[in-house]
Amino acid sequence: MNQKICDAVVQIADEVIKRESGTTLKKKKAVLDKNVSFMASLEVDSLLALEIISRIEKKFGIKLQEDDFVHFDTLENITDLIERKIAVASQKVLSGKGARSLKVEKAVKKTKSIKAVGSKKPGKLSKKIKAQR
Amino acid sequence: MLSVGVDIVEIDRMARIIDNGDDAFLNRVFTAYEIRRSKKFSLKAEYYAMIFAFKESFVKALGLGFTRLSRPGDIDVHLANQENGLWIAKNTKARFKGQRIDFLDLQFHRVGKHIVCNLVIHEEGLCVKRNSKEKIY
Repeated sequence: MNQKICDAVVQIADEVIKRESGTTLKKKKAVLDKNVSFMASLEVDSLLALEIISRIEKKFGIKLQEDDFVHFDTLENITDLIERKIAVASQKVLSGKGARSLKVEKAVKKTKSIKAVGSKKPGKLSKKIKAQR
Repeated sequence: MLSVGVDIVEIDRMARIIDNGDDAFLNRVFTAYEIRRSKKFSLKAEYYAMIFAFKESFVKALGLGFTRLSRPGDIDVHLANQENGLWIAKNTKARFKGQRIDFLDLQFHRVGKHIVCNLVIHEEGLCVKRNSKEKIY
């Protein structure tokens, strides 16, 4: 389990719970138990659950489904799920960058070849200018 | 077959979320149309609370809850606007994944600082039979 992700999730939930009820998660020690359902022990309703999910999405730059937290309910499972989603998202970004870099390389090669051709074979206009000189 | 869905939303909680400037939450839960339309309502927290209560009631009536099959962002709610706050009007309507939802009955109540939504849907006929117009604020 990635401790940084775990801490970030707990911090987000802590902020939301603190704002709503005034209590911190430290007081709810059961929440931090790895084997207990995280969302159930937070005692949040759908409104807060959706807020926590959207904050996690924003924090990690990933997309989560509404029922992801039902299937992956313990803190450990949620952390693993986020870790997997981050890995998938980063792979997509890398593949996107790869495709872009290939395009850029092709464009650079094309411009280089044009320049090379231009230097070797001057056009009719440049020949006229040279003749005038 | 008739299905019933009920939900209650605290207006102040919705106000806190809106005031917090949580765009990720708004974009996840509400459609672009609903967010655009909110600009016409002076009582934004009530507006969003009503729409959220409706969506929650609707998925409860379907026996689903919010899942990947019934995301709140897939339900598009069109509430009518009246001059003095929010009203339930005859042209209140909604779409779920592009399909029109028609109600046998839909009522919103303001109880203290809460919005309560009672929704009865007809799963087969889907025919609009709005029968009451009620001021909630």
